[in-house]
Amino acid sequence: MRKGFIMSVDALVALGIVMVMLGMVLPYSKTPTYEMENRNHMQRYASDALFVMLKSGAVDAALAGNRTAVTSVLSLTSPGKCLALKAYAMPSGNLSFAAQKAGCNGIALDAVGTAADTYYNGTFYSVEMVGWLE
Amino acid sequence: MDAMLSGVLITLIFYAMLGTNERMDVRYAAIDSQIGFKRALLLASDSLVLTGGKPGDWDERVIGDYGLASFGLASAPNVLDYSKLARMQELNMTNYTEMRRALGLAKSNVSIEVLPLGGGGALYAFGTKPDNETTAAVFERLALLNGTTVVVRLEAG
Repeated sequence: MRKGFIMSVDALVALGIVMVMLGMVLPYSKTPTYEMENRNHMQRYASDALFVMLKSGAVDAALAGNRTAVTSVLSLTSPGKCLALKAYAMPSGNLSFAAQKAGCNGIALDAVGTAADTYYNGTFYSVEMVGWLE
Repeated sequence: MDAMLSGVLITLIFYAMLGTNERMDVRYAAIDSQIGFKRALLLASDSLVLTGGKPGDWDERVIGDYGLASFGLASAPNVLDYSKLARMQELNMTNYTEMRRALGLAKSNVSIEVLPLGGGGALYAFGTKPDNETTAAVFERLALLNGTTVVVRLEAG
């Protein structure tokens, strides 16, 4: 009985040591990714898209009800990159319009984004662009 | 017998871990280098589409060695300057080395293309495509040129 108990404790300690060693080695064996760099790139791309739309007047046109320019830029962006644009009237926070690249469903959990303010027809708007890799 | 066996096992595990660490050091050094390169490319793309370079009127000057502190193509953030694009293309043959140094990519082959959004031939092109496509990295940025959205494609490797 006593010998069996000692053997069990022995096995448990050995298992513990093996688990600790595995725990030290396994994190290194994962395939490295460049996730952070990809996110930085996507964040820049979303920011570029937002400022291009603001400066070209596409956002103003969308606020006036004509979304053709916004939809056109979104649809022509690089394959594999998804973008979604939303504009909120301030200070109420009401959604004024939303547009998303066709074929990109929902918004990914790891999406990155940027926002800017704009003034149109007597109202301030907060415009945000969110981007993610498909 | 038990003690000998466990001694052998511990020695084997120790050497296996030592070998793994050495392999990981080499691997992570390569990853660090690749991440550093991608970071440099990201900053170079920022410089291209968000700034006009230093000096800001480089497109009107004669560019000598170290005459360009940074290389930019914009008249305002995300708005490309037609004059700088035209000058960039002119300097392709004579100042390639100086301009990639000013971009912070002196050790790489660098290619810059301004393309219509949605595809089509390059409106402006500069530099040399990287020899090895597998190690090359590409950054695409968006900007306005004469009120139209274009893609600035920076490739290096």
